[in-house]
Amino acid sequence: MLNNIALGLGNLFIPGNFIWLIVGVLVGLAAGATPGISGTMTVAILVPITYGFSPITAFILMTSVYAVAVYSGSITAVLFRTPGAPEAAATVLDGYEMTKKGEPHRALGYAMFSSFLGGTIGAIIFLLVAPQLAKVALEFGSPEVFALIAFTMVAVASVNVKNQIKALIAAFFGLFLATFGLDVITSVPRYTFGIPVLYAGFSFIPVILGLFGVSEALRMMQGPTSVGRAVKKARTVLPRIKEIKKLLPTYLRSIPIGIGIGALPGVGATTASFVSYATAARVSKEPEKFGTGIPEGICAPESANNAAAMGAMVPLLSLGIPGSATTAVMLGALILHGLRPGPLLFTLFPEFAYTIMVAAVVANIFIIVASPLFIRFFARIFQIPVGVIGTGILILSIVGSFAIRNNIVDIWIVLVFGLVGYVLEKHDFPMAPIVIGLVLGQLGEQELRRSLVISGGDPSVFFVGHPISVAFLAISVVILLIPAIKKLKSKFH
Amino acid sequence: MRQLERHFQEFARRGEFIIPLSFLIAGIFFFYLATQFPTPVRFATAVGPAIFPEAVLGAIMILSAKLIFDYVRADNLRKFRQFAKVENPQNFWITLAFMFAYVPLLGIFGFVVLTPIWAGAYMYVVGIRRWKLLIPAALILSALVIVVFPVLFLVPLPRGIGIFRTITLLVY
Repeated sequence: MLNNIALGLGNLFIPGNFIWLIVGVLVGLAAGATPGISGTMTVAILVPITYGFSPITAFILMTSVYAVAVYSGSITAVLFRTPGAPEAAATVLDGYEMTKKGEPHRALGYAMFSSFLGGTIGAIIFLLVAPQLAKVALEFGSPEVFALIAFTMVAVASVNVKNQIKALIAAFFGLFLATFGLDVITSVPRYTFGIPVLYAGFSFIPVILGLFGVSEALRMMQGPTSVGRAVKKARTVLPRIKEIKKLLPTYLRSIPIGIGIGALPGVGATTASFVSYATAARVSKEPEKFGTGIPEGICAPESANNAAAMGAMVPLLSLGIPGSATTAVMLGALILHGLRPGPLLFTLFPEFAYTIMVAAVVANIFIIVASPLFIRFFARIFQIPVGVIGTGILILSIVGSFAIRNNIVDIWIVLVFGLVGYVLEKHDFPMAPIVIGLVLGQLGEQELRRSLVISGGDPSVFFVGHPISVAFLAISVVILLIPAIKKLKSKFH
Repeated sequence: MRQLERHFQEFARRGEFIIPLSFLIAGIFFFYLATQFPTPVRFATAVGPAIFPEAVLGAIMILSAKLIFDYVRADNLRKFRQFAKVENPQNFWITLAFMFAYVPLLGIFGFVVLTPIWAGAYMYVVGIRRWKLLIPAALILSALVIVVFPVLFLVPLPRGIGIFRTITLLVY
């Protein structure tokens, strides 16, 4: 492993790659800190842009954007009560209160240090654990992979959603979209309507750019035409050693929570930050102080969300299962670059896998180096009107979709899915299950049918002699039943 | 404009009913299409190409029916009134019109000619009236895309027809 890490370090510090890491850090800082531009959307926009790059360079850029955007959402959360990214929503609770007390520099410092710590430890664990998990994953056959995908779909449609039925519809809608095109086993055309480009099915990128990019542009155009007041004297003050010592128990609790939740397929950093915040408040001797602007209220969600973002990379690379919406986009990008994520990635392409993992560690370290400078610069450019940002998103989404197959149909797809995404999200249908369903649908169907073909159509293939498959399916059923059980319980009470 | 806004709000509120109904109708339609998929003889005894879409669409139909049932049974439109409040609907429609007009115009004018004009006009109608910002923003956005896509990555963005094609060929 040490050899591979050295190989990864060597690759990363090639000037051509290292420059893209720095670009990624800067883009991640800007994107995460701009409300309405999520890390997911930025990575989605980068997919077509980086198509001509080598896979290693492309993923160094995307990983560093992803790692840093999770942190920088906290900047606007602290200063404007507007999380730049959903992952920073929990940071608003105490971060903005601290700003109101006249201490934005301290709040920004806590957020920055906690993100750096959580992200770096998360990335190091990712570096150490992912290859081991890959070895376990080699034991997975078709029934296990199908069960894992079923679990992912159920998990993503059940956690942190306003309406579980709508989330399940979204997940099934994503799976349905994956059935367009030639059937992977029989080559029978499905829902192609004689349109040649549909024989290859829906490309991930136009759908993702539509759901996240165009729909966001539509939303932005309804808001005020300027993002808000500028923060002319914003700066950052790191916490002192004494303060860090006091916060140590919070970090020791929040970072493992983040890594654990992040590694669960489809759950993500937003959930991790809220779970961590709630846990910190629950175990605190002074829970009533949470929400009044205390350091623990910033450090718990910020360390957990960055750790979770790195944790989400573990199932992506080692199992080919995305741990969040952004990693779902990255899964699509991996496939686009001709790489099949999964256990064999570590044996067939160790250079790629280890370079990406090392890049994740270094990108997190860069948070503490680059963000104080960025915050000063950010205060000046933050006045760009939303109209300009929205127009940029629209143009990039349209051109980005066209670039995939050089086909006008993909532009129609991005626009239609932009409208669909806007309308669905307005009515509380979450987007992440659609994306994960679309990305995993084809693999899920393939493994389901392969299992049934092997067993001659006998569904017991998922249960008899396959304990891992049984475990995943059992957990999925339990997760699905939890709301019903809660409802019954409340009726009896 | 107020009437337009009222209609939009009403439509948005009814989305709680219209969206699951749309899913249900589309589900029935695509389910029917799935039943028509041919199954090659050698797969006849195993699992054909229709089973997965049928299962997924079945689930969509059941869940959509549940949402419709909940909506009808709830009988309290007030409960749904809180959803989907739309601010500034005129900007929404303008954005939609600009988005969907862009594609057919792209074929005629090409990317180089159309995009700066389109971007400038769009920014103007959504409220940016400072020419010193609008013109450079439209030009810089278009130039950045041209440098990244057709020049660096050789993506053949549409060149348009006639004189517009000639103009585009001067750039890429």
